[in-house]
Amino acid sequence: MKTKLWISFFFITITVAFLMKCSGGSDNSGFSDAAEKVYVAPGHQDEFYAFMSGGFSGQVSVYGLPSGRLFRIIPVFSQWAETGYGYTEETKPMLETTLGQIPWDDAHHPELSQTDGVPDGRWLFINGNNTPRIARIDLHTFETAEIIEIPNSAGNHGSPFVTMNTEYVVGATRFSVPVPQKDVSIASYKENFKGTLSFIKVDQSTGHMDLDFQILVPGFNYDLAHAGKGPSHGWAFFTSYNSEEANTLLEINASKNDKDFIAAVNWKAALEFLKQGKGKTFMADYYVNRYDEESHTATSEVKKMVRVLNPADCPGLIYYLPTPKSPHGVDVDPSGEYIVAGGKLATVIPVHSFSKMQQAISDKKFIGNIDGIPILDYEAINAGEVQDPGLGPLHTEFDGQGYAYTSAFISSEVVKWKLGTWEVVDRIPAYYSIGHLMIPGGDSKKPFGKYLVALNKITKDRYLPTGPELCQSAQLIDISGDKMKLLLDFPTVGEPHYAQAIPADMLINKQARIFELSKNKHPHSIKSEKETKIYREGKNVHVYMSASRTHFKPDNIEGIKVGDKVFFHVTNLEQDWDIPHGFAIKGANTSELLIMPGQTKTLIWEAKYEGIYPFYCTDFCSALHQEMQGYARVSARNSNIELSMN
Amino acid sequence: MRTTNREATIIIIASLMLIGAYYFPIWQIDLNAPQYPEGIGLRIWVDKITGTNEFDLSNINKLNHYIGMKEIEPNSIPELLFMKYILAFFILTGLLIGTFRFRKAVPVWMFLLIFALAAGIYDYYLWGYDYGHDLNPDAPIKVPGMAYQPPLIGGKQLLNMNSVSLPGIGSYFIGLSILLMLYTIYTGRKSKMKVKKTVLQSMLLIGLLLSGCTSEPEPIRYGSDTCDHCNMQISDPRFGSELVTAKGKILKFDSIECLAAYSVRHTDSEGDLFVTDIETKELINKESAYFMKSEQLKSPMGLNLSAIGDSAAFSRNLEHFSGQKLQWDEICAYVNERWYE
Repeated sequence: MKTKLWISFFFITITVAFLMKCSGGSDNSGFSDAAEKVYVAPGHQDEFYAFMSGGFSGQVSVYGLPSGRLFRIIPVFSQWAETGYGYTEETKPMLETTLGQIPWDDAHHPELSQTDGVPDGRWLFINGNNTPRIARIDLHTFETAEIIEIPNSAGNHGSPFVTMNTEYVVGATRFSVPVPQKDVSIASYKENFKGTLSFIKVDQSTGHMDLDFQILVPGFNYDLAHAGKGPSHGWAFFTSYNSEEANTLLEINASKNDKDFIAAVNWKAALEFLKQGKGKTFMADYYVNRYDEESHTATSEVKKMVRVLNPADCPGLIYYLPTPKSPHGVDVDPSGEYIVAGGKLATVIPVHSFSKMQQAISDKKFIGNIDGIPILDYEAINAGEVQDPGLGPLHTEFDGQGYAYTSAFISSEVVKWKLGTWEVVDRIPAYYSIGHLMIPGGDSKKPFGKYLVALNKITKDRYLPTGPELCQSAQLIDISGDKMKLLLDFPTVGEPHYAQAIPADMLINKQARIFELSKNKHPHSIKSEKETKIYREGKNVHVYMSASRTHFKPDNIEGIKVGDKVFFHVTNLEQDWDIPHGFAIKGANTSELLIMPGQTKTLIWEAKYEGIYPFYCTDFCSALHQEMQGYARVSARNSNIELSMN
Repeated sequence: MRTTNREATIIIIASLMLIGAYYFPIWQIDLNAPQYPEGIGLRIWVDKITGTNEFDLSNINKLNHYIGMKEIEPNSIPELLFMKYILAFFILTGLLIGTFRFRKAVPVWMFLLIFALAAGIYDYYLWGYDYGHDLNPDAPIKVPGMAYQPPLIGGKQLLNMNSVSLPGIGSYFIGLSILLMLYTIYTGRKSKMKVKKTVLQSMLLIGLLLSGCTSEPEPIRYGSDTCDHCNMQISDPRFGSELVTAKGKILKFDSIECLAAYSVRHTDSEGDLFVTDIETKELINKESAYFMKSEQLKSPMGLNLSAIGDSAAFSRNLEHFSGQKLQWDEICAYVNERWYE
């Protein structure tokens, strides 16, 4: 009896031990070690600025790494009531397009400006997907400085990727449409629908964008892009899927072909072709909206035409590189030699070699052509394939130490592999469903490395739940050692599709603290309280108001009549760090104003009914902030109260 | 006794050293507060006041208006207009002394500079006092008993700001200059006595020169001084009065009426008028005096005028002596009427 008891006890112990060993693997975290690595003590600063796209929020959010703290949301494509962006007379022009004023867009990919292939801290570009546009953000004020619309385009997704010295920033159409637009049956996709690849020139001193030329391409879905660097500088690479040219149920119909294409564009050759007069001028309207820092006002200009190159007329302009399968991301390694594709539905990560591509071109190793675009032989251009890369590989970034990191959406992991040998050396799970990933400088010639940020779509149980709608997530992973280590999870604004990071010390000392009042060229600005005034032009009343600790001048306004439109031009006279003033008035059908030191903003208020209307400062500015208020008096239309103020 | 080459060189260097005070602030006030991690402060130069950072002066003025302090307007501070000329004077004279080797002038120069520096510091103290105490009664933030005089030198907590006031680099140049001059005096001495004698002589000389330069009244020597208007001896210590002209000349009178008469008759007699406070027997400025005419309190020249500084005491006197209160212009009219018409 006793022996049987001991034997059963022995077997139970073994079973339990076995089960325990099999359940729960390592989660690569090491908690206390990680906590030290991500803790930024009070009074200290993060190492990196991380700029993340807001996706469907339309904005760009700014985080610190390694703490994962959110510092600011920069309004770009969506109205932002907090500051008045898109509501004030000064900023409404930013959201102007040929399809009217559009107060929202889908912002996907932030891209830092580069010099010699390395982020230089001048600008951040981001694309607008729904109404094709590219925005440029000034990195010393963190304000959107310019938005350019892209004509002949729909779904500007493969955008805005920069060339090595920010000569150009590119756009590419995810949705093919007739170019130019016309009324045709949708089933005539193959005959009528085209894609365009856009090259926007960036002025190196002002940053001003100008649509230099477009290339008309077959109606595939152009997905993502990256420019070449080093030896491949002068080329830009665009992934495409839906080489099947399906127009319905793409889920099935665009996933049939075993290989789709990466379009390799020789943009330097394009410039030559343009010089030779090969560009056709297409009439197309598009807006260029620019915000001027000194007048604090945006102005819009409508451009009327664009030069378009047809590949059939330009041999050597563009080649198709066969790539399995419905590829998503295309990423060029720091050396400029390897072109890595995220073959979304493939079982491998295909890597093309730039030098082999050059060779194949000169050896004319073509297997066909589409609309005059030669298709190169896969075997001739292939450098290698990474086996077992996870399911659904999407994006790859590099650490500058010879390794590449690819996100796999379906298997929800990050896979680390070695360039040249193509072998997987490490993997780490992502929680959950990773889309893009980002390494600081990871798409540049000299990655800064150290961290990898995984941008995940599904959070489920990772954070405190907030009803059915849950935030999306970023995970900070330490890539400084051989093995990846998860350090931190932090929630993100909107849906970050991609991100870019730059060492903090490249931007910290460039930050503007105030706008200089002496340089303020806003037409309704004032330089001191002595210049405050009010005047009437018919039914428009203009108020030149100052905001300064801690009062508005004027703070009593009389003589406004029912039916008047009152323009409050408020100038913040402070020249001190971090002293903004707000402005709101009862009954204004618009947002408040949030005005930085030295800046002027305008709020339009319609006086609809007689009475007294208070206005006040909405941003806590000083000990007597509660006293910073005023009154506006509205009298009957036919009253004879004169305009007066004090 | 001529100076040696080395001494002359040092004198010239010491003079040139003063040029540093043109290029660096002579005093600095730094304010520390948690909400100003970047620092905020003032830099006082020989001819201007600036902030540590570009807009500090204007931001400090803004903050100060909450506690009722006046705005610092460099344009209305007269010292900023002439200090640079005083400095130039010292540089030039120093260079002359060094070039032409006026040994005896060295201690004079040095003490004058020390005096100028001391006068400047005292003047700065007075400015700081006024600035910190003369507060707007309508200030939004009033802390009972609180004054905001910045420290002359060193640190002081003023509400949420810790104020640190220190000499600027320019002042160190001046200090160094003085030390160099002291060194030449020390090394150039033939005997200790002679040096002491020279030093004392120069201090005396300066003292005499400067005594004429103040606008403070001199004590009246009763029984000895004579009245500059009526030429009678000044003997009653309750009524002596004085006029200190703008040029520093001192005129003494035996009574208020003689002072009034003199100032009426001599329209070029600009300056400060002083009268004796009948209670304390001290000379007080006419501007802070209350005047009484009373038959029961007779004065030396028969117009029966007296003065007192304390308003409560004045009210008592008016009652006690059945007196009549007069303003200064009324006194002048009265004197004119009685003596000159």
